[in-house]
Amino acid sequence: MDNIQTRATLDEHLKGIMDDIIRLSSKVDTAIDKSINAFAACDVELAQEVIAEDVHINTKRFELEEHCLHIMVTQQPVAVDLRLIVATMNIVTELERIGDYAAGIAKLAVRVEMVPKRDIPNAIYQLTSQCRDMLRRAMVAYTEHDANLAYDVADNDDSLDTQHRMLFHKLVGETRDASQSTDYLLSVLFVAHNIERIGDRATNIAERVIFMASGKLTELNVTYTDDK
Amino acid sequence: MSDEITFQIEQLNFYYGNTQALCDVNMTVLPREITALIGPSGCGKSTFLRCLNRMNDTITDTRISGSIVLNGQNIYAPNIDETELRRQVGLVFQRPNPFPQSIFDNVAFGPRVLGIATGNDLHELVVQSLRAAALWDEIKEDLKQPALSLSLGQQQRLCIARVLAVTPDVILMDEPCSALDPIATNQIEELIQELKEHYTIVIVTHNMQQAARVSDKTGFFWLGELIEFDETTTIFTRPSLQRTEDYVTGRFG
Repeated sequence: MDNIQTRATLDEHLKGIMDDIIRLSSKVDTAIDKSINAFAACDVELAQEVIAEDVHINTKRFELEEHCLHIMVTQQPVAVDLRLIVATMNIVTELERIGDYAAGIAKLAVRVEMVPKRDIPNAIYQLTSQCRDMLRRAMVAYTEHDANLAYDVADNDDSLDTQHRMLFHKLVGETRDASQSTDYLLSVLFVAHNIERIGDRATNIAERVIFMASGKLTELNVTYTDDK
Repeated sequence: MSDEITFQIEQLNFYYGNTQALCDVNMTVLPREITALIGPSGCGKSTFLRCLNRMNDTITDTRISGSIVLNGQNIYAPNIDETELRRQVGLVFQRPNPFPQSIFDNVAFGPRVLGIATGNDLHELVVQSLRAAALWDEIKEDLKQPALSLSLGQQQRLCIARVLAVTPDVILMDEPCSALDPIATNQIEELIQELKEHYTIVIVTHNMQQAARVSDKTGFFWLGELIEFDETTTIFTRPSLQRTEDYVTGRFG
């Protein structure tokens, strides 16, 4: 029996959804990068590209969900296979929401086009880099079925939250300075908020990876968004 | 759920001649729970089931060691009345096996032999058993019709009614749906859920989805050993052992 590959069809399907979700996460990661660049440079064309790409991300999300449902109906997966599919269905929703955050930043880039340009704070770039790193590592943890790496990802979210809070207070302080454009500062605040939320979503993905790898349902870094 | 235990099985070993079919099996079966036994062919699950009402005693050159305690009484103790044991612990077989008699006589057979009821009481017991086996509405017009004229699914429910008629505590089922079509299978599975209110059920099945659908606990047997025994949800979502995971996901080996 050892030499017979008994679930070749199921394995092929599972590989398919894993490949698809990795590709989708890559699209989402690119969307984050492009949206920040579009916002920083007030690049409307690039922003429109991100907004258009978000439609594709949404479509891809439903396609992946359909595929997961198909596998459940036709293959009746259990145990580790079932956890992989359930986790994938959760993760694809998180990725779709991250895509929405990126699209939200891109829409802002279109709106602030007329506002006098100025450099965005370095902290925004740092936040972005950190949340993209969290996202990428969460997806590596998914591919590797690595719960420990998923826990590490969640640990990074605390630092992201702290940096976001510091930037928030700094920007709120700057709004009191009459020489600063309030519209622009509010836009930066919104961008920072979206990036911070992306970090939360990456943490959610990490939670799903932990479930997938170990069967443990756990809430990491409980955050209270309304208080931020 | 009561804390009292229906079956306490300890260090159970069983041999067909020189071949060991069960190795050091330990299991606790609680009242009014459904326990499913899964595992590949020849893993010992049916042998184990048949130890629970000493059906293996009828096979020559077999040996057993360890203990099976049913409601506080070791069922392999010398003073045990095997007929009474099999009244308490009924067995439903893989293929429906009604007697070539009427529906009524099939269900009345056990109570008559055991002297449980006669006359109107017997009639009432037969009706109750047929109702409990979810067969009554389909056959109530003619209890005298031959049991073998029923469909396979109806015959299997008749066999369950026959077990119920002798008022057992435990019902053992050895792949009770393997000969049935999906509709008849669903009917038996629904019936099992209803019977759970009053009876303890142990079911052997090759259909893992069936084990997942009907049971509270699942035991995975392999090469005569009980590899893992846990809540059914746990076995089918996050089993503790790789061997169990390999089996339930269909990647055995």
